[in-house]
Amino acid sequence: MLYLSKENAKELAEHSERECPNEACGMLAGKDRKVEMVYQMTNRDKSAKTFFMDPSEQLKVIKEIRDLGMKMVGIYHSHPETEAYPSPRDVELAFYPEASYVIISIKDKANPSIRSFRIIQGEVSEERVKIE
Amino acid sequence: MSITVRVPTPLQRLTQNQAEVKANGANIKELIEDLEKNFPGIKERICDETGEIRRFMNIYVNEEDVRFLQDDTTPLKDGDEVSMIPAIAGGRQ
Repeated sequence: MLYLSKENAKELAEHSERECPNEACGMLAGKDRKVEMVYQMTNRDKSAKTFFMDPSEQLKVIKEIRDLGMKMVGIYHSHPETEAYPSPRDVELAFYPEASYVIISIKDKANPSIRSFRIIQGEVSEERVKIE
Repeated sequence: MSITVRVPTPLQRLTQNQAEVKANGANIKELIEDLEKNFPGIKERICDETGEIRRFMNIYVNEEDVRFLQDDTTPLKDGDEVSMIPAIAGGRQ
C-alpha cells in the first residue's frame, strides 16, 4: 500500500500533463510508505517514449531526502499515451527494489490514472494506492 | 591512497553488505579494477562488455557526475569520495 495525499496526486497529474507529450519523472519522499514530498525532476531524454532522471538532480535530492530524515518511498514517471503499467524497459531498469514505482497515465486526459508497483528482480507486483 | 566508495543497495551483495568501502586508484578506471580485486563480480555491474561505464550507472566524484569530468579517466586523490548510484530511467524503447 502506498499513501498519497490528494494534493500529491494532483501534483503528479499536473506534472505529467505539463511535460506532455514527453514523459515526466520524479521522486517521492516520505516515511512508512506515506508520501510527504514530491520532487519533480528533469527528464534528460526529453522524450515521449523514455525517461532518464537528471543525475545531478538525483544525487542532490537523495541527499536532501536523507538530511530531512525521510526515505525515497517512490519513483514516478508518466505514460503520456499508454496504460499505467511498467513496460519491459521500465522493469529492466528498475534498480530500486525498496521503492514503489508509480506510473501516471494521462492517456485519458480527463481521468489520469495513478498506479503503483513493486519491481523486485524483474517481478512486477501491483500495490494499492490510497489517495486521502 | 584511500578513496571512499559509496556502494548502491543492489551491489552491496557483492561487498558483504557494506554500503561504504575503501579502494585505491589514480582514476575511476583503476578504482573499478581495485574494487573488482576485492569484490569479484562488481566490475560487470558497473561497466559493459567493452569496459565502458554503463549508461545506467551514475558515478560521482565528490558529488560531480564523471560524465562532466573525464568519465573513467577522471583523476582521483587521497580522501576523495566516489558515489555509485544507479540511474532512474525507463521507457518504451
